[in-house]
Amino acid sequence: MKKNLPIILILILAAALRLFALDKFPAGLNADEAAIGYNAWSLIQTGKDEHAMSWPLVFRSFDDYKPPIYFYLVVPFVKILGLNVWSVRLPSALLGTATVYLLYLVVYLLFKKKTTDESCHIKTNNFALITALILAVSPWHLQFSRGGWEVNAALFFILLGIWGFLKGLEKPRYFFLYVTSMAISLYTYHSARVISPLISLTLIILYWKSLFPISSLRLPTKTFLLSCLVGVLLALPLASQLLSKEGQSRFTGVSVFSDTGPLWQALEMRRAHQGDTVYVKALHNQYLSYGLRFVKNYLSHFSPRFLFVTGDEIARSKVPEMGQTYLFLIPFYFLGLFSLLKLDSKGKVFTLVWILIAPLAAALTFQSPHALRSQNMVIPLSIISGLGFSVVLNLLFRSGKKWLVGSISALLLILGGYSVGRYLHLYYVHYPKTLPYAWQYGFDQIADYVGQQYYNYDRILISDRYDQPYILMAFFLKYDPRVLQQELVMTPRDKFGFSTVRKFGRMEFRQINYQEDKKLSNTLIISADEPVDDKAVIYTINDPAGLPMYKFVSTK
Amino acid sequence: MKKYLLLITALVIGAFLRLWMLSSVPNGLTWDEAAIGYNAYSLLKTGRDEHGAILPIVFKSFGDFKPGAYIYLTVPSVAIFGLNEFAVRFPSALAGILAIWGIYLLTREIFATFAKEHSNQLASFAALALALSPWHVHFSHGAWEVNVFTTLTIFALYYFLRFVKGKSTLYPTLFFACFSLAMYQAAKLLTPLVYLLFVIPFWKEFWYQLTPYFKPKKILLTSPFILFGLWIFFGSLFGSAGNRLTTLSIFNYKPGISAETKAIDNQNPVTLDLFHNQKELSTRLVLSRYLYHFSPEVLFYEGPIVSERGHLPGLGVLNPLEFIWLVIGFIWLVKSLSPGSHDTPDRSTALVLGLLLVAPIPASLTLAEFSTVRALFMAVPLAMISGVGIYYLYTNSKIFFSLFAGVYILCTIYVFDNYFFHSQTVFAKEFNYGYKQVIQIIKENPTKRVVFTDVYGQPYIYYVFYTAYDPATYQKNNEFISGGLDVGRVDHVGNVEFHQFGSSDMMTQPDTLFIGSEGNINNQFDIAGPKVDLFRQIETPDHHILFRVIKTKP
Repeated sequence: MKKNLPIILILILAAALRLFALDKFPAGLNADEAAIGYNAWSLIQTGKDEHAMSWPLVFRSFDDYKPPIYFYLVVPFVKILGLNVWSVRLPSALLGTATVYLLYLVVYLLFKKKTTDESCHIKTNNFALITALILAVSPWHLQFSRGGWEVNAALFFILLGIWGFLKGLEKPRYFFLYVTSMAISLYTYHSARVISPLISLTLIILYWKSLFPISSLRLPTKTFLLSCLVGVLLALPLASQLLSKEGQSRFTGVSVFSDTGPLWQALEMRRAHQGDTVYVKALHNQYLSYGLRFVKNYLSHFSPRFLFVTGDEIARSKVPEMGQTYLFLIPFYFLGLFSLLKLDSKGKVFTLVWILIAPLAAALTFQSPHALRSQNMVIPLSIISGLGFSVVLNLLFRSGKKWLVGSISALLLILGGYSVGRYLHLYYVHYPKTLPYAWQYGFDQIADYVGQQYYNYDRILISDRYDQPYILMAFFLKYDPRVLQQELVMTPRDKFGFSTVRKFGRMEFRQINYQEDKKLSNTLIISADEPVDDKAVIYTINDPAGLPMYKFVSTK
Repeated sequence: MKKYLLLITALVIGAFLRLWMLSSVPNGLTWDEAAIGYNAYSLLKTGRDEHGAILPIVFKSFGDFKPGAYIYLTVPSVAIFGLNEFAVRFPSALAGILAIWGIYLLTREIFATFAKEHSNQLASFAALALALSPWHVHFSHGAWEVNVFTTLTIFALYYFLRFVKGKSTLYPTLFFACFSLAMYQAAKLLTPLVYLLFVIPFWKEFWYQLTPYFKPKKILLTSPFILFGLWIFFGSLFGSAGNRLTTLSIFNYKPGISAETKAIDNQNPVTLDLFHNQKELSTRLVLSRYLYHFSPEVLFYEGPIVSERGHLPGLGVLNPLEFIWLVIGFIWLVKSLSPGSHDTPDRSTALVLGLLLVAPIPASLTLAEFSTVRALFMAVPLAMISGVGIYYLYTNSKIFFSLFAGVYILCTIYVFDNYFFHSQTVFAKEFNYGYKQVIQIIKENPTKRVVFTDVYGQPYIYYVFYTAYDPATYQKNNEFISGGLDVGRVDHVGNVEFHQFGSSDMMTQPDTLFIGSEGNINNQFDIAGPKVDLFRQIETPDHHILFRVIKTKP
């Protein structure tokens, strides 16, 4: 018990940070979360999703064809807790806490070789503990543990797979956990489809000698080969899905090639030369242009500005004034990288390879850097800074000077506590007020009002200023899925490949044109930032900062 | 001879990239370049600067007090080539070429623990990397004091290493250090820092070599250098030039807590004081400034934080594929060059990585917008790390080396094609394109008066530069108006007046040449009117209107 006390404390901290007021912060509920929750509810009620598909392997949702695992994870929670914000977010928060524990186990297994302790003077257990602690308070991991994020579940399964593999080297039956978990990750989030296979490959190459010893086929080898077969079988349905039109549509919508900028740039530069010679074509063509764009996207994830200063640009994935990780950890990153390179361990190669492949999936898309799609980077980054931290602590304790140990640990504690405190302050106080739109704040209140007044109006017009309002209304009104399945009509796709629903029941979702819409009889108009006659407003919903966010006008 | 083949190649390529199209890329002169050129011309003709000061150390110029060394270097160049763009930029280009040789010497000395042919090869690769560094090429294409400073510092460090090893006297390194201090403002911080970095690992040897210099006779010989260094160092910290230095410090930036933040925190005094205070802000500012220098969006591609003048349009300051060599070089530096345990790294690693970490410090402490100008010295340690990377791959895997090198060469051609042929439109705006053409028009169309807009700032310097206005006459009638802590301005030179004007001025004043921006001579103005004698327009290559010229009839 005493031996396990530190990791238990870390897990309690991790759970507290992930679970505290989970339904209130982030303030609101975004369309993807609502879609997950509503479809899970629809499955419980009818056995079909909103598009009337029974128990699908891919959810059509907004025509973005969401991977299924997170939906099915949410099903039992909706069953027990009912359809609410908690039940959508709880699986991710719990898996996030479990990820912290898994990282502790994985780091221990990766770096447990004796050489580690000698060349780096660190105790593997302490190193694993510090890494877990850093992940527990990591802004990057916290951001995606709080909210119904598929990517966070995928990261859990990837890590579980790695743990299964490392365990499997001792007890071969764990290889089945490895392949199953890796296969599940493929069905959890898009970017895992690039990352998981590459990580599996890295593991197999690294541990090739233990898997396939030269002396004949032993039992572990056979079990491993068998489990690989299972893995291939599990991944087969995915292959057919990816080759289908729906599977590809998602990728073409967000891929780097959907941005025609590089192509035009190449053509324009070609024009600047006299004559369209072979040399000019060799320099200015789409291959080089898109190649450089890919390099740019890839490298952007290693930008210190992104990691330490401003973080992601997307409001949903960022906390104001925060980077993806703490600024105060910089020296530890540097020291950790330095020490890692000097280690003699398989864990070193694995960590370095992981950090290099982590942004690959995100770099293939047109928005970069993208904290969501590259979330798995947080693991190697935690390992590196954790190593740096443990090296410092170790040097400190080895020095044997009590006053030095005391003062430096106190300093580190104060700095660390201050950084985490500042982050929490920004997350809980500033985030909802500066970026209220990020999480589509206010729809629960709209639904409350609309629910009461539903039968008093012939028509309820709701602004589509923020993403996919229909699913949020369906979610918060607990609209009967049987009815919705009947009423659902999808619009044609927009340029990013998304569709939406323009009306169901008495509700319509579109941009408010007040001059025209006020002529409609017996209608409730709910506008976001579209101008309406302020005198006619009968009800207002304010954002967390107290500014009007939604205005209700009645034409009765 | 074969031993030096690679170095010679680097020098030839480097010289070509730095001298080719020197006067036309970038296709205009900055204010500082024009001022440097004219002051050098003035010195050459009269021995005084534009303000009539005899052989000054610090030049008043626009009131920004330029360190004088670059201007003195330009004097012979102007004497040989005449007063033109090439002459102004030539000292910097030459320094850029010498830097390639310098980095070869310095790298060879840093890695002296290697077998001779290895350190020679490694140093040659580093020289090649610097020769091809777009950052270094760009700043050699212009009268950038920081570029000459970089070269001087390379040699100062080289002779310092020679000194601690007993292969050279103290004088060369002292000479270069003093020279670098006189060359560039930020040197006052960077030069002591790099010396500190080099002294610490070599403390014992340094002290041992230094003791003979405590004899009275030697002290007498070194004292001029020391006194000169101290004079430059402290002279500019105080007085009018020093004022400018302190106003530019980042610690002067005290915006206070915004009303917005206060409202969000509900006036909660605890969190306001704890999380939104000045110390926290300054720390974050300095640290993020510092980190930006290592950002891929500054180094490898065009990010939102760099001003246009400091990098290649559409690219970063380095070759986008440079990161291949840098990563390999970094890993190898850390791994193989530090045989002991990690807390006692090898001196070569410490020196190279230390240079990389120290170089951005001065630039991180200035308030001005982030720019790659002040951090140019970083190009040196980066080239060394690249050199290590190339060397490692070359010696260990010829296949991968040729593969990477092939793609890298293609990318290098792309980069310089971009620089020489596609950057003109961006540079035109950043480097004040158009003054030369306008002043040509003034020369061809003599009128009683010329009215010249000052909307682009300091037009007078371009006028005196391109007309090679007689310095003696100029000094006598110098009309400089001081701007206090800010830069000053000049109202008129001879019959050329520098101020704003409007349509009514053009209608009423005969026999006058009006030179204005699109704002001064707008589209409503009737260019075919009865009073107009001549209308001309100067555009950037992508047809943005820079200047419009109207000549009114006598």
